[in-house]
Amino acid sequence: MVRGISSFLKARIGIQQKAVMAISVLLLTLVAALVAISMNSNSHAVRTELMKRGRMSTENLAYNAVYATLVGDTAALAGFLDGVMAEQEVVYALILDPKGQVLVSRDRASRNDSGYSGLPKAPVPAGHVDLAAMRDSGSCADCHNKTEIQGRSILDFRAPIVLGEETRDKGAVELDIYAMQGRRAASHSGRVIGGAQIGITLQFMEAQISAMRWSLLSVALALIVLALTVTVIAVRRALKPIDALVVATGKVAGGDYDSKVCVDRDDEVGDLAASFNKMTADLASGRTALVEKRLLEALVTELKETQQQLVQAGKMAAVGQLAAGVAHEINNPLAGIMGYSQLVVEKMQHKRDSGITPEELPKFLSYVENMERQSQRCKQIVQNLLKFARASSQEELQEVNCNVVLRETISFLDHQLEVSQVTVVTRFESGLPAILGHDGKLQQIFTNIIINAMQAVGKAGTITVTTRSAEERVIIEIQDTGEGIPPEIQGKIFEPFFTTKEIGQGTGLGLSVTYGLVQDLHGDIAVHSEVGHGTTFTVSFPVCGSGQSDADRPDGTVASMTPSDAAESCG
Amino acid sequence: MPGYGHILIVDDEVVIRSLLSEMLSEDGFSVATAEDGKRGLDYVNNGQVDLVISDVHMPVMDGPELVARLHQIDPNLPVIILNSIPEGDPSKGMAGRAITCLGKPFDLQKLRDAIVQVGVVKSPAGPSGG
Repeated sequence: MVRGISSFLKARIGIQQKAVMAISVLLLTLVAALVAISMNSNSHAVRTELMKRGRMSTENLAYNAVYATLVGDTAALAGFLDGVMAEQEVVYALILDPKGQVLVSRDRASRNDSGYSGLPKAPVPAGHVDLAAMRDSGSCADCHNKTEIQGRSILDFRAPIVLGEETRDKGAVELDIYAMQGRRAASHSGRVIGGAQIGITLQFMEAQISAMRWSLLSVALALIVLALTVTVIAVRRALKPIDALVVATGKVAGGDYDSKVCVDRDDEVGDLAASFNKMTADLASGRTALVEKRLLEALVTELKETQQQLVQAGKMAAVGQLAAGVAHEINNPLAGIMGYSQLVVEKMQHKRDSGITPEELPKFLSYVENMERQSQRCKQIVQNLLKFARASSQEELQEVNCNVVLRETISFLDHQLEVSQVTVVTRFESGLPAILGHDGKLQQIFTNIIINAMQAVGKAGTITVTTRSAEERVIIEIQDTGEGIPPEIQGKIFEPFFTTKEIGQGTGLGLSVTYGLVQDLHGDIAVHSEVGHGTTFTVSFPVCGSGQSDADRPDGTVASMTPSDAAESCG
Repeated sequence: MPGYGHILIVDDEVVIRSLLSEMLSEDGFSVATAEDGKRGLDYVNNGQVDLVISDVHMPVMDGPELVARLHQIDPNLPVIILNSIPEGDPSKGMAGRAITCLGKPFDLQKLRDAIVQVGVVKSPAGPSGG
């Protein structure tokens, strides 16, 4: 229960309720104030009217009663009093003699009039009335008193009966009370022959005021209800677009950018709705752009992944190609070894009994020589493979003199060159600057190019190997006197496995591996070939201490250094 | 050697050509050799051949192309393929043709069995003593 109340108190109060509440409080205050002011002024008017009537009645009675009092006609006086008592609110009326004693009196109690609650039994005020004082007094306060008789408010009015000039002119009776007051003040010199006294109950006035209050209150209530109804309707109508806006903003927050607010109003709310619609449209377009951007990013990511997968696939294909190349390389000499050994076995089994004649010996010898040659070939292939594996795994760069590496490479290939009857001419620059590289990788590069050249020149060809330095680079040229490479395939010779048809010649690893190794060492490789005039491969590497790391230069003037100086600077 | 099976050996490897020539001659076949598919095809176009033994990877014209060309000339000409790469089937796409595959290195006896299987007639003398 308590929780229910507290949750009600904490419950969210909408702007509509707030507006209605504020306007209601304002209206209630306004109506209450109006009712209060109206009640007050009406009560005052009623009271003033009552006072006026009381006074006028008393003075009229005093005026009319002059002759009857003078002649002592009590019957006439009683008639006057009965006339006065015809007024509902008059509860008693008296005529006093000059001594202030009651001459004639009438009251409601003696008349047994019903409808007068709590009327006094002895309505006539006791005590002497000072008529002279009444005559001399110019103020109204002295001619009436509010008295409490048995708890009831009764206004007591008194007026002197004066024998004056005006009494002879009865037409003066018709004059209004204010004029009479003026005359009364002027007739102070006249003789007071008695007094008139009237008691007026406030009961009817209070009832009238009460009735008036109730009618006012009901009118006020009706007004409030009407005003509140109008307010609620007006506020609702005014805030209805705001509700629509709240719903629409909720939708937009939820991701629905198609929601529009339709407000056909030429005011601030209309402006707000228009702004909201524009903002939503902007948001939608912004979001669309964002979504497109994200899509694009996702696409780029996907592309990158695909590229990586392709690269990986390429690597796997390279491994497969390498394995295939190795298998081809090894399986051919192996087939030779296996076949010739089986031939030897067959023949020897066949000759077990007869024995091998000296004439047959050369044939056997050629079989076995073939086996030996093919075994050597296998050994060479395995060695090359191991060297390649070592070259591939080597990471750390060191200062290398290309002349030294080239000499090693050529001596390593001596046997093959000799078999092919290929001559190698070397033109090495003395004091060649060192480069940053790997012995193994460089050897692999030079081996591949020289074997390529060896295959190109065929029997009795020449390969020329030249080294020189120029423009901070070490340049190695390997030139052959072969047939040359047709221009249409010159651009493809570094592509991986372009030469797969000729796999089985050389290491089978291709010029693409050479290209990759040169790139690893920050070098360049180029081919120049003319059909019929041979081919030249040109490999160049930056001189150690130049290029990438200027900080390594001793004085920043490498351009003026001699190659041998540069070599020394590399240690 | 008229009347006996005439076998063409196509391989860019000298050692394979010499080994097979030696062996098949001893077995009583007449043998011819070619260094690549193109020369082998020229030979077949110019004379009667009972069987072709071919390598797969060769310069100028490789084994599969040679087989396809031979099929155009004579769909019934038997071919024995010698493959030096263990993975992959060089006879792929040559279904229905008289093709036998042997991987390098191979047993001489298996090659002999394959030759018998394709029905090439050899010299009645059999393997000669030299």
